[in-house]
Amino acid sequence: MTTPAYTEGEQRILRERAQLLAQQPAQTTLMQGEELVVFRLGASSYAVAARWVREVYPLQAWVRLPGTPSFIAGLANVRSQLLSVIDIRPLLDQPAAPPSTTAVGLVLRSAGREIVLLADSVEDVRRSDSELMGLVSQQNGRAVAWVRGLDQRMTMILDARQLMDDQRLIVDADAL
Amino acid sequence: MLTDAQIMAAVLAAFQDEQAEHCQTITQLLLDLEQHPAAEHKELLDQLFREAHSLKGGARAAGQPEVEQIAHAMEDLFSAVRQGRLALTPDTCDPIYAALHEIGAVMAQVGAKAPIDSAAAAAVVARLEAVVSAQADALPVVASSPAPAAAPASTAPPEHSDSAAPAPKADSLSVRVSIATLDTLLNETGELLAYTVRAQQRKQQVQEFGALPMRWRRTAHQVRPIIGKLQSLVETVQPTVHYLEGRQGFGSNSSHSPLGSRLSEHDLQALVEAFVQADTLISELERRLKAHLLETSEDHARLAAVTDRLHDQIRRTRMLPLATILNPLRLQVRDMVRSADKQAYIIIDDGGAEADRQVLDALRDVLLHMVRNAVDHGIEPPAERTAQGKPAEGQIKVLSRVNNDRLNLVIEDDGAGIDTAAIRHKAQALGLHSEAELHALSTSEVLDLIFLPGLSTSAVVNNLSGRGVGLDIVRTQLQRIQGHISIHSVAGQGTRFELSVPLSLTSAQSLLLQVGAEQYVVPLDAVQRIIAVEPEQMCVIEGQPSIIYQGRPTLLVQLAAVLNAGTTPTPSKLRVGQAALVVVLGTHERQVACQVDAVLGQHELVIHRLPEPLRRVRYISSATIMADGAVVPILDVVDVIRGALGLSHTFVAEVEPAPSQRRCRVLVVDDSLTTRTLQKNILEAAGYSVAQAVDGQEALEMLRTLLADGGCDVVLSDIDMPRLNGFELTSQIRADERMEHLPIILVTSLDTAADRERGIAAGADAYIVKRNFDQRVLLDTIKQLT
Repeated sequence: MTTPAYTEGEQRILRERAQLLAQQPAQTTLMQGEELVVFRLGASSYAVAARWVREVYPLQAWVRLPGTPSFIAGLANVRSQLLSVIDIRPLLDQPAAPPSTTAVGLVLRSAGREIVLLADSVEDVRRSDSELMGLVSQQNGRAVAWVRGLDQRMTMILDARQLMDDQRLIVDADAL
Repeated sequence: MLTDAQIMAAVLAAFQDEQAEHCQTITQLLLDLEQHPAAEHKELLDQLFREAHSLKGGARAAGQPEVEQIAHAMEDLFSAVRQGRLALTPDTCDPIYAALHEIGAVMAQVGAKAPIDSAAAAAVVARLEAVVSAQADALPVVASSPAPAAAPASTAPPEHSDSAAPAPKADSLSVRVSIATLDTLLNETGELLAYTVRAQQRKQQVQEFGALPMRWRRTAHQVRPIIGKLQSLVETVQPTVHYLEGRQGFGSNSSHSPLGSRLSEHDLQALVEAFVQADTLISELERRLKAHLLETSEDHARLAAVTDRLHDQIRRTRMLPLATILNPLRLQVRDMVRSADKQAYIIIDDGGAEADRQVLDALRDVLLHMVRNAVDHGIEPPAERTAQGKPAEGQIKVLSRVNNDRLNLVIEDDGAGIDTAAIRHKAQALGLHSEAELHALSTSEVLDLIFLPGLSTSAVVNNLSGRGVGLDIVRTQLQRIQGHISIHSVAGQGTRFELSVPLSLTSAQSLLLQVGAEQYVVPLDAVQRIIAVEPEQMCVIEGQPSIIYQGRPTLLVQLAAVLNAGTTPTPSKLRVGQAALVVVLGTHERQVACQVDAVLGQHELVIHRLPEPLRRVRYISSATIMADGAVVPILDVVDVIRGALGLSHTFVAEVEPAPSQRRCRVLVVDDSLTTRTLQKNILEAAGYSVAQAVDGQEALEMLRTLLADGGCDVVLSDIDMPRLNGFELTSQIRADERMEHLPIILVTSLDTAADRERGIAAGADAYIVKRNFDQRVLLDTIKQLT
């Protein structure tokens, strides 16, 4: 198929839209000095903006689900509400591990949806750094959209909102 | 029987509600977009567009051209916004609000049977069109121009904008509550149920405490004479230590025994008094415990009763009238009959039944399918009917009754009935049964065979009626909601299906199973029997561990092995020769004996749907929260049976190298970008590789190019296209010997018998009608053909 020719006006629209699109990550990314919840999972520490974290809950009543991908750690009962527990490691090309007995869940909420992030422990609540370092995955083209970068204390800063929007999270056995 | 006018009246009534909903949603979305222009732009815009589109479709179906035109103009406007040709500013939004207001006005006039002010409607349309055309070239810099052609006559004043959606009837005594709110309420009652169980445990504990003073009383009874003696001693003796010592004989010869020297008569008296006091206190405790037990029991009983009622009421609140899914069947039957060149009418009696939305959602497809079956295969052509002495017009009945917690439905037609000889023949051809076995089956057993896969989906006509799914799928869908189906048919007189489904899926009698370290729940409905199988009852049949149950070999599997089939590659370790506890799941035609470690009991459990992002999980349909807060998954029995029956194949596949990783390739041919994108997204999500062509000519060229690259596996084509249409494309593909067996599915808005015949003549394999376009139908059809 041939590329249709655009009029000058259309090209201008396209250019402006492209610019708008290019700005979008800047809107969803962390605001400077925003409060972060820092948690440890396996060998690394991660952080999400506190405004997405509804609560931190000790993961006591949870159950593993057969037939689900490894990033689904299971189902948890968070005060009579059933929520999916996500282990982010497999999504970042790392092996999953079963939750420890002292594991906690970060209940994330965005646009009426809620999921629980698995964490070994919550380490800190602190303000975000202004500068983030890039990650190796961002250099070799295997970057995950919701990993923003590394801060000065070697914490991986995650965009909770984009994480929840990640289509890879959807488990649908009917879709082959 | 219903006249067309009655049908149209019903459709109009439905549209009155529908348009109010659409207008309200559009208003809300616009308000949101106006307030937060950047947030979630794309999603909201898409939704706006869809709302306007549905509104248009509804208006067309309901015969409301004014509303249809307004919705159409609105759709154009939203489309322009979506393409970035237009910005949503207050100035652009005003005409939309005015348009929504006008729709409300038109529908009010329709409701009041008043003449419709079509000039006002036209003015609104003109104003919308003006916004689009005025800004199509100019860029987002908005519009100081308030639409030149707009007629001010009918535009809503700004203060009306917010109430653009038609106001609810002033005298209405009901409120709208979102399903999400009801779901939350239902979850809360789930917690209450859990607390009720805990209250019961407390009651039992109090009961146990009540038994403790009894034990004291026995002890006290035994020592009371001694205490009595001591008491009289203390009262009679003189208050001197020596005297007491001598009389009591504590440390007979030594005058200063350690006990004697320290135990004064005061001590003794204190001891006796302490005993008496303890006895009194414990008696009091016993009395109070008894009273407490009474109160606790009463509280528990009340809590349980209120919780049950509350749960039941919320469950009922979530229910919708069955009529909401039955009434649309009237119009659908009317369309089906017309396009099949037959004559038939439908009688519907919903019996005032109501059921949970989830149940109705599942039933909707099932009923549509069954009614379609009745029209396509049941009802004979008029001439044939008259020749048999039947009225030319066929009759289809859908009747429903509520029986306790279940909804019973009957779908009946007075058509040709089912040819049992053909079923026997087919079953034999498929190798399901030998001739001798079939001979031994009763008529109803033979009829039951049509629910097996492969038996009801094979006829060409079936595929061409655009479904590609058979009664097998119907039964599977019903089983998913714990439903049953049975069939009765008399050749020449008609067919009758009886369905039974639960009214609600929010709670169910269930068995709690221990499977390895995990617990699972299985709906009691799906359990045929629990058996302790002795080694001598097990055997190996066709290389598979089996038991003979109800006179049939039944596959014996470890439930744990089925559930973990994907994750742990170790085959089932089930050893024939060890006693096992087995739960037989399924129905007679397809059953599996699953070995479990223990059956932990039967409970009435609240069913929770799986939370996002879990849409559908293999083997697990839902989950429940136990009284102690533990989460237990509920098994999807249909999946478990399928998994178990396919278990051996999985292992075979592991041994043999996978044949090829090449994904199935589908060529999508459609001149509409929307349709192509829609189909592409559906297919890619389902794991297909997709190629696209804009018309038949391009498709043909692309197919020839693709031949060098492994070819294409299915063609999914529109009919009405420029250059080379779908029929011509089909004929040309069939004419090419390299592609003569390539499966072709025609997707079309044309649904007439003539078109279908033309499709068959050209050599199409299946025919999907756009109006009924459904992702599942598409995927199922492709799956069947590849």
